[in-house]
Amino acid sequence: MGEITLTSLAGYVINNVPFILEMMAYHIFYSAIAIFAAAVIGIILGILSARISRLSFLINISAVIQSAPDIVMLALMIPLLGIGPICALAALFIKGVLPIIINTYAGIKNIKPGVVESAIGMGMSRSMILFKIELPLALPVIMAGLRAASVINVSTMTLASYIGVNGLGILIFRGIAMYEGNILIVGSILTSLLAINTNFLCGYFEKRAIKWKQ
Amino acid sequence: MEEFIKYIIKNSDYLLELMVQHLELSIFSVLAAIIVGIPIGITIARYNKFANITLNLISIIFTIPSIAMFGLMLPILGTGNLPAFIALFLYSLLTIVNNTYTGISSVDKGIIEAGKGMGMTNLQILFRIKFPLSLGVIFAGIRTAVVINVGITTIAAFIGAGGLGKMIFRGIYTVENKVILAGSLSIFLLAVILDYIGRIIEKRFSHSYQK
Repeated sequence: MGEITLTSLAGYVINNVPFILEMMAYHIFYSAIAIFAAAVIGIILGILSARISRLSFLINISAVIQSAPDIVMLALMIPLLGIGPICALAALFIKGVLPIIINTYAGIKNIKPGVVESAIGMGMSRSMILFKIELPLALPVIMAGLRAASVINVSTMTLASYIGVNGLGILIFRGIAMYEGNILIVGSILTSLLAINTNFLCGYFEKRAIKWKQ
Repeated sequence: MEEFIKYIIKNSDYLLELMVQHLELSIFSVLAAIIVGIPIGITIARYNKFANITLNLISIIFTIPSIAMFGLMLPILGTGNLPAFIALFLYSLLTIVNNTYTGISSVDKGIIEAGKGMGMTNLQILFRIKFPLSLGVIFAGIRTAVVINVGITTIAAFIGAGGLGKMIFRGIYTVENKVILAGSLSIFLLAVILDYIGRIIEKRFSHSYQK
C-alpha cells in the first residue's frame, strides 16, 4: 500500500495542510450544524414527552430507530434526499436527535416529584419551573446525551464521505481508492483524534454541569 | 414500490446468503469477545488498581469511528473477513468488559459478606454469588455488543468482508435505490430483531434474582 513510515505520514501531512484543514473544517462544521439542530429539537421534544404522557411513545420509537446502524441511516436517506451533504445532514440529525430526546426525557422524569410540587406550591409558573428547576436538575443527563450524540455525529460524518461529502473521511476513502497507505492512515488517525477529542471536550462540559448542579 | 418488492423476491436467496454471512461475522466476534472479555472484566473488578486505566483506555478506543479503525488495519491486515473480525472483536470486547466490570462491582456488599460469613472462598463467592447476580448487566452488554456489531459489519463490507453491507455499497455504486433500500432495511430489521430477542433473554436473567 505504498511505503508507510512516520516520515512518510508526516510528509503527507506537511504537503497537504490546506486540504487537510479544509476537510477538518467541513467535518466540524457539518457535525456542528447537525448537533445544534438536534439539540434544539431534541430537548424540546424531550421536554414535551416528559410533560405530556400521551407523547411518551416518542421515546419508544426513538429507542427502536436508535438501534439502526449509522451507515444504514445514511443509506436510507439517499433514496429520499439524493446523494450529497443534505442527506448526510439529515442522517446526522436523526442519529443525533434520538439520544438527546431520550436523555432529556430521562433527566426530567428522574427529578424527585416533591421538588416540582413544592415549586408549584410556592406559586412558580410552569415556565419558571421548567427553566429554573427542571432543566438545571436534568442538565447533567442532557449533557451526557449531547456528548453521545456528538461522538456519533463525528463518526457518521466520516462515513458520509463515501458519498462525496467533504470531511476527514475523504482522506480515508481516497487513501483506499488510490491504494495509498499514507493518506489512509493520516485520515484514520485524524478522524480518531477528532472523535476522541470531541468525547473529551463534551465530557469536560458534562463534569462542569455536574459540579455546577451541586 | 412494486419494483422494490419484485427485487427482493427475485434476489431472496442472495439476500439470505448475505444475511448469514452478516450474522456469522457479528455473532462469532461477540462470542470471542465474551470468552476473552468476561474474565478481563472479572479481573479488573477484583484488582481495582487496573480498573481505571483499563476502562479509560477502553472508552478511548470505543470512540474511534469504525471506518477509521478499518483504515488503520488495512495496511497491516489487508482486506477481507480477518480485519473485520478483529475490529468487531475489539469493539464488542470493550462493551462486554465494561458491563462485566459494572455488573460484578455493583453486587450488594451485604450479600458478599454473608457469603464470607458462611465460609465461602473467594472463588466460590465469584461463581455462586457475584456472577449469577450480575448476569443481567452482563447480558445487556452482550446484547449491546451484538447490535453494535451488526452495524460495524455493514461497514466492514466496504473492505471486503461479507454481509448485507455489500448490498448497500452495490446500491450506492450503481445508483439503484431499490438495492440500497433492500440492504438497509434488512440490516435495520436484523438489528431490531436481535435487540428484541436480546432484551427478552436479558429479562429472564435479571428477574430470577430480583424477587
